[in-house]
Amino acid sequence: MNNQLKNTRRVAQFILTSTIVLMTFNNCSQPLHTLKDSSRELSQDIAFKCSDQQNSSKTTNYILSKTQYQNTLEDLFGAGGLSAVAVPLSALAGDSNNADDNKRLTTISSSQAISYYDIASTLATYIVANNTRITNVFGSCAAGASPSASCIDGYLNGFAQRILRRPLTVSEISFAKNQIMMTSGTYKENLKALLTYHLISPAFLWTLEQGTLNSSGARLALTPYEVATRLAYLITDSTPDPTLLAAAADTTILTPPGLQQQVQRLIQSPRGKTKIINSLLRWSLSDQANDVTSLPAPLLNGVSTSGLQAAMLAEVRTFVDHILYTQNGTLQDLLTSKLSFASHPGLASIYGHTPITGVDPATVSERRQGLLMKAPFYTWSTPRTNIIMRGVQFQKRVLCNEIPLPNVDLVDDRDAHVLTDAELLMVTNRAAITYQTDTPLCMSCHSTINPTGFAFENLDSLGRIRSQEMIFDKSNNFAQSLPVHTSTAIPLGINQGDLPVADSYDFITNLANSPRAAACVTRNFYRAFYEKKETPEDDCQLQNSFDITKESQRPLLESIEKIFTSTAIYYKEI
Amino acid sequence: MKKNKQQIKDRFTSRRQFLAGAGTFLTLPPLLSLMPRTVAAQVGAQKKVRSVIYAGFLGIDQHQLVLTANPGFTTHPGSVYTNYKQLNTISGQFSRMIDSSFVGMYPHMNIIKGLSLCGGQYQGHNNSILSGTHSGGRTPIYGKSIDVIMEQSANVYPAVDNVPYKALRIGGDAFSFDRVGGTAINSSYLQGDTALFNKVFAGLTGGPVIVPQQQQTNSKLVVDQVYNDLKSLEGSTKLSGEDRTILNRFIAGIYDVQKKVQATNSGTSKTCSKPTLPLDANATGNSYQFPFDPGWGVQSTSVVFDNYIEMIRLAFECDLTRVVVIQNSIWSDLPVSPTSSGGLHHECASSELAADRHQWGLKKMLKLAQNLQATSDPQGGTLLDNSTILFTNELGAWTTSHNVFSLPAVMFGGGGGLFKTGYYVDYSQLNRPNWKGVGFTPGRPYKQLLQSIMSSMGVPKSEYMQFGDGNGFGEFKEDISQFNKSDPGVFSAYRNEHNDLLPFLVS
Repeated sequence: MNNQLKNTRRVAQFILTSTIVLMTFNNCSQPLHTLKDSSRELSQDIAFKCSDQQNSSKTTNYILSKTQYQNTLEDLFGAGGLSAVAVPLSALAGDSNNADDNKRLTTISSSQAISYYDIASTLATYIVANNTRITNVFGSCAAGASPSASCIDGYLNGFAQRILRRPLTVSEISFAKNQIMMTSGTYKENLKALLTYHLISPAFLWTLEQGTLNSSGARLALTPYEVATRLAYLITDSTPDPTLLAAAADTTILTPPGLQQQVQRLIQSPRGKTKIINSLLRWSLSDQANDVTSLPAPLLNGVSTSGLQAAMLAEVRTFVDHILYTQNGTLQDLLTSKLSFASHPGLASIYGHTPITGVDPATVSERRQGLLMKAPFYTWSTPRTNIIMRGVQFQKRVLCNEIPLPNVDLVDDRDAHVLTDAELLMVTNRAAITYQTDTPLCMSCHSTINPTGFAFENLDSLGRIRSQEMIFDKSNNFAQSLPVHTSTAIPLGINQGDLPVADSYDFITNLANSPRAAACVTRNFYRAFYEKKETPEDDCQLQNSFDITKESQRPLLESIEKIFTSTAIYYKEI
Repeated sequence: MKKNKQQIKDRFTSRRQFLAGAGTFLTLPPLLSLMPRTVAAQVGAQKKVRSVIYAGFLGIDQHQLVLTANPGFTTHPGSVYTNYKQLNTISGQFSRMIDSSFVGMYPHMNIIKGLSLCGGQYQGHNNSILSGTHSGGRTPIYGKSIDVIMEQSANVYPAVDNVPYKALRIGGDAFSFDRVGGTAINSSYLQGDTALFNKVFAGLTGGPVIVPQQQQTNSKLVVDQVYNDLKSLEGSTKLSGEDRTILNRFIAGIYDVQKKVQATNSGTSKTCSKPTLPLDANATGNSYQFPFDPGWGVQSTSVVFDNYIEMIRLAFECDLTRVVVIQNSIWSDLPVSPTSSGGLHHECASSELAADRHQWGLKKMLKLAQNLQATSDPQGGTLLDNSTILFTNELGAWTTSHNVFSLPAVMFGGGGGLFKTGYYVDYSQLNRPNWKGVGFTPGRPYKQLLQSIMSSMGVPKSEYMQFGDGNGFGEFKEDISQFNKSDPGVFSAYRNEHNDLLPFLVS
C-alpha cells in the first residue's frame, strides 16, 4: 500500500515537472527567421579549409564491390551473362560498409577469390558455347570454322580493353597470343581460357591505380584510363562505357571541359542516377523502413500495411528522382518540397492526400515537407516512437555531429531507470524518455539526442503527423491519448548553441535555410562515392561542392558534379 | 627367470622373420588407447578432425544454463579450481536450457562452467571472443579468431588433402576475423541455406568430377599467370598501406584457387551427392539480423537451420570442409513480439525469454551432434567422435551485467580423441564467490578451451602461440581493473598454464 502511494506521488510529481518543462520549451519557441543558424555563413568548426586543389586524403584502391562487380558483368555481357553466373555469384559475399561513415569494410578473402574464379570460368563457358555470343565478344572471325592466327587481335584490341579498362600491355598480349592461344586445345577452349584469365585478372577485379609517381614519391598522377575508371566506379558503380574510354584514349578527359562533359554525362546515366539517389536516401535515413504490421489497430486507424514498407521506399525514391532529375532542384527544394507520389492507399493516407493514379504528384498535409520528413525513417514496430534512435541518427547522419557510443554501464543504468508499466500508461513517450535519461551522466549525450528526437514527436510510428499520442499497454490495449509536445531547443554541435524550434517542420525549414545541412550533405556525398570518411585533405573537393550546395538557386546535381571535377580527381595520395 | 632369459637370448630369428616383424611394426598404426593422451591428440590431428563453433550474441544468465549448487563434485588433482561430475550421475533436469532431450547425448558432451576472459575487465561485449581476447565490444586488438587460424593452418589442411573449403561461415560477420598488417578484418559469411548449398554443393554432379585434360592445362596456366601478375606488384612503390593489405589477401586468395585447380586436376575430387533439401530461396539476412524477421522473407528459420545441419554433416562426410562457424544473433522463428523489434539485448523481455531463444540454438547443435553421431566416419568411429561442436556466447549474463566470468560453453564430440566427454566441469574459483559483489565468480582462462579445440584439429602450441598479445594465444592479464573494481592477481594462478590446454578434459 505504502509503495502504491509512493508510486502515485512519484508519477504525480514527475508529470507536474514534465509539464512545467514542456511549457517552458513552448515559451521559448521563436519565429523561424530569427533563428541563430539561419545565417548563410558556415560556422568555423564545420567550415572547409581548401589550400591545395590537387590534395586529397590517402586513397585505397578497392577490389570491386559486389554491386560494382555485378553491374560490370551486366554492362559487359548483358543480362544473359549475369543470369548465367547466378549460382556462383550467390556464393560471393555481399557488400559491407560502416554505418556511420560508409567506409568499405569488405575486402578479398580466399573464398571470394575462389568464387571469382568459379564465376569467371562459368561465364567464359557460357560465352564460348554459342556463336552469337562468341561474335559479340571475340568478333565474327572467332565463330568461324578455322579462325586465322590474327583473329584474336580483334578481341585484344577491342573487347579485352573494355574488360581491363585500358589497352593491354605488351606482355599481356604476348601471354594471350603466344601461350594461351598456342596450347593444344581447341580454339574455343583457348578462347574460354583467355576470357577466364581476363575475368580474374587483378586488372579487372581491382581498380588499382599505377600512374606516375611524383618526385616525393607520395602522389601519383593517374593515367587517363585510370581517371576514367575512377570516375566510372565512383559515379556509376560500373565499368567505363565506350564513350568514357574514348575520352581516355584521346586524353580529353584530362582537360577541364572534357572532364566536366564526362562527369555530367555519367551523372545523367541510369546507373549514375541510381547511385546519386541512393546516396541521398542514405543521408536522409530514408533508405529503409521498419515493419509496422504489428502496430495496434487503433493506431493504424484503417491504414493498410500490406505492401506499405515497399511503397514508402518506392515513393521516396521517386520523390528524389523528381526533385533532382525532373526539376533540376536545389537542396532547399529537396528539403521543403511538399510533393508526394504516394499511390498506395495507406501511404497516401499517412501523407494526407488521396492516392495518385497517374504520374502527377499530390501535395502532403500542412506540417510536413521535404525528404527529411518522409515516412520511412520514422516507422517503428511499437506504438511508442523510438525517440533515442531518431535523435542519434539524425544528429549523426543529417547533421554530421559525433555522438559517441555509450559505455555499457551507462546503457545499463539508463535501461534500469525506467518507469513501471503502470506509470508508462500515464505519460507521453517524451516524458518517459526524459525520466529515463535524467541522470547527469546520461545527459552528457542525451542533452543532444533527446531534444532532436522530441522535435519529431509530431510523427507517429507510421510516420504520420499527429497532435495526440495514443498510449497503449504492453498488450497493445489502448489506454488514453495525450497531447504531444514538440517544442524544444536542438543542440547544433560543439560551440554551436541551441536552435529553438516548435516542431520538426520548423526544424527542417531552418535546415533548408542554413548551410549546416548543405555541409553535411556534401560530406555524405563524399562518403557515398568514395566509401570512406573525408579528412581535412579532402577539403578542396568538399569546398567546391559545398559552394554550390549552399546556394539556394544552384541545382544539387551541379554540386555533385563539383566533387568529381576537382583537380584532385587526377591524383592518388599514397 | 634366468632360464627364460636364456631362452629368449638363444632364440634364432631368421632374416625373413625379422623383416616381416619390422615391417608389421612400421605398417600398423599404434593403438591410441596405449598412448598418452597428448600423443594421441597428435595422431588424431593426422585424422580428419572437424570443428563447429556456434556463437551467439548477447547474454545467457548463468543459472539458466548450468548448476548453481555443488552437485557433489570431485576435485581434479594437480590443477587449481577444477571440479567435475559425470553428467549421467546428475539426476533431474540439468537446467532450463539443458532439458531432458540432452540426456541421450550426455556420454558425448561436456558442459563447462567458469571460463573467463582475462583481459583486465569483468564486463563488456566481446566481438573477439573467438580469439580469446576481450574487445569490450569494439574492435579487437589482438590475434585472430580460431576458425581463421585453423583455416590457414597447414597442420589442419595438409596440402595433399585438397579440401576445397577451408572454412564455412554462416550468419553474421563480427566474431570471425583475420588480422592483416595489424588490422582486424572481418570474415565473410554466407546468408541463407541456398547460399550454403550453392557454395558447397551446386557444382557437384554426384560423382568424381572428370576434367578434360586440355581444360586442366588451361586452368592451371591461367591461374598461375594471375598469381604471377599479383606477385609482380609486391615490389611496387605505388601502393598505399591499405592497397598492400588488399594485395596480400588477393595473393593468398589466388594461392587457394591454385590449390583448388591443382586438386581438381589431380583427380582427387570427392564423390559426393547433392543433398535434396527444401531450400528457402529467400533466406538472406544481414550481419546484425540472422534470418528471422519476416521482413527478410524467410519461410522458416527452423527449416533453414535444419538444412544447414544436413549440409554440414554431408560436407564433413565428404571432407569438403573441416571448419564451420555459425554466428547467430537471433534465436528462433517466433513472431516478433509487440514490444520488441526482434528480441535483442535490452529489449528482450526477460532472462527466461533470452534463455529460451539461446536454447533454440543449443538444441540445433544437439541435433547436429545427433546427426554426426549417427554417421559413420570412414576413418573409424562416428563423425562426432572426430569432431567438436562448441556452443558458446559472448556474454555470461543476460542484459545488464555483460559478465565475462562464466562464459557459456557446451561441447559435443571427442575431437578425434583429445577430449574426455560426459562431464560437467566447473573451473570457477570457488574461493571467490560473488566477486566484488557483482554476483559472479572468476575462473580459468576461456582461451584454454579455444587452444584445446585448435589442438584437437592439429594446430600445435607453437603455432597458436603466435596469435595474441605477444605472450601467447589471445590475451592474458593477471589483474582486473574496471569500473572502480581493482583486483590485482585475480588470475595469477594461471600464470604458468594459460597457454596450455584445459586440465581434466584434456589430460
